[in-house]
Amino acid sequence: MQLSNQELIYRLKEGDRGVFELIFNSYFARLYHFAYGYITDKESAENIVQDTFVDFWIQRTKLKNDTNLNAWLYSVTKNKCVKFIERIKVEEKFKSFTKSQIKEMSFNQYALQQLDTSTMSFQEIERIITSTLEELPPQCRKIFEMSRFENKKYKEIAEELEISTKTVETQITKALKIFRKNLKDYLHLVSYLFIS
Amino acid sequence: MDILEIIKLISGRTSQQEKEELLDQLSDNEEALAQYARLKNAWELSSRDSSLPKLVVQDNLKSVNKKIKRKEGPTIISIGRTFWRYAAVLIVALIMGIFIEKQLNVFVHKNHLSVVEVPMGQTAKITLPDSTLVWLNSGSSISYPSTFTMDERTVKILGEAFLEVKKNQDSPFKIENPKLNIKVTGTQFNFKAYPDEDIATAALVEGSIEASIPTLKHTSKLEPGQLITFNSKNKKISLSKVDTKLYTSWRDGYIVLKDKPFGEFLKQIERWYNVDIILENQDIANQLYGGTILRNKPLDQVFEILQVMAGIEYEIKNYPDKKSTVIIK
Repeated sequence: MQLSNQELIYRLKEGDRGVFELIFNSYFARLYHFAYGYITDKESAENIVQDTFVDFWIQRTKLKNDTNLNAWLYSVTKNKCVKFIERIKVEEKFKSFTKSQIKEMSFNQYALQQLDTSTMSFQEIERIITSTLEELPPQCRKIFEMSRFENKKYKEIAEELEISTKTVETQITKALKIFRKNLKDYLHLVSYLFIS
Repeated sequence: MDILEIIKLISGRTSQQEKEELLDQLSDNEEALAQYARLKNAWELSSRDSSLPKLVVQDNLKSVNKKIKRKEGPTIISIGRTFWRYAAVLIVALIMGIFIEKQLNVFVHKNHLSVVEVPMGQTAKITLPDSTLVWLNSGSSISYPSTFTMDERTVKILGEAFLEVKKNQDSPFKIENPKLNIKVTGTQFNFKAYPDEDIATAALVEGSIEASIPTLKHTSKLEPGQLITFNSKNKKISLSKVDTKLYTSWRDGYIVLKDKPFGEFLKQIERWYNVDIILENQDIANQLYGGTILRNKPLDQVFEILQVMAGIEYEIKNYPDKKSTVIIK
């Protein structure tokens, strides 16, 4: 059971802190994992998502009644990640990051700038993931799941399934290409550059 | 740089040295960078990680609340007072006692009658022999035979329950209760008739039900979205169109109140937290409130929020040998 988007926004505007906490509890973890994918530092990722929710509360009265909350939260988090990476590239106080970390994050920043979050919704992405997994051949799916959801290294997967690491590589590539295709609505900004 | 290497960088959990080499290769290669961006995004979006330990989420909520307080300053309080004056938005949070089944008292009687009692502070979900699903709210009980007969399915419920009744045209499903009886063949609805409350209600989500008042020989048929209310004190029966979500959300650990008397809200807190609440000023009980109650906060925090937002004064008394008491002044 879920309250409708409009009902949530109406209650938020009335200052309903319970609804705010409800939204926080259902979206915090997902936004955190999203931010952590690009920021590679747990504490910074938590901080960014916290700030997203602070903005969300402070700006709630400005939300339109038909605002897509998912997309709003994703977009604000995305922009905060982009700005954060911009800062670590120039500011002294982030010296604790290694050179290669900063390099990786600046590539991630570029990736984030290509990501279209304006219509994104958790439910929709969840639906795409489920249908994509079903579309994959069984072994390909198994390998992808072990890599993506169980965080296993190629070598571990190869040993466990008694196949070569080369096969693992090609199967993950295959799976990711299909994901890329199915997620194209969000990844469209660089499509013209793509040769595969 | 080929696509396999790019994907390895994204997904491979490579060694530090390997990673640095791959990052270097990516640096001056615009085409590879574009590929990286798209694959990286596909990889991140294909994540199914949607959970974190509850404690981590709670800690982050605390930090958010602190940050908001710092930004808003004392205005929170003045907003609260304004709301109070205009009859108010009430915000409270309570802890979700997630359907703990193991601590329930399940008795199997000699005549094969099972009784499930849900203690105060907990909720439960059970499956009946005919695969009907029942969610029981705090302080409620259900008794049912371990097998149903061919032509009848009768249960007794005291308290509040949400039911998803398995469809069976030949065998009507009946709820018996001193205040309110229900007869259905297959549907979803919320039933509420606590012995210590005058008001009994049934809210129909799907299908149709027949509600009868045993003491008045009254029967009404409900359509989806309808609520029947029976006041056992003044014997009044009313049918109204409602948003049924307001009557079923307790299953998910929260309650949405819309213009409800404060007293009704306090009754819910009593059951969820297993405490007694004493109102020194009874007038407050009849004032109307709106807001959302979540079950994810300890009792003292619930009242702390109430104090700020609604302007009430309270005192919590804990005893070693009996229920805690909250006095609202």
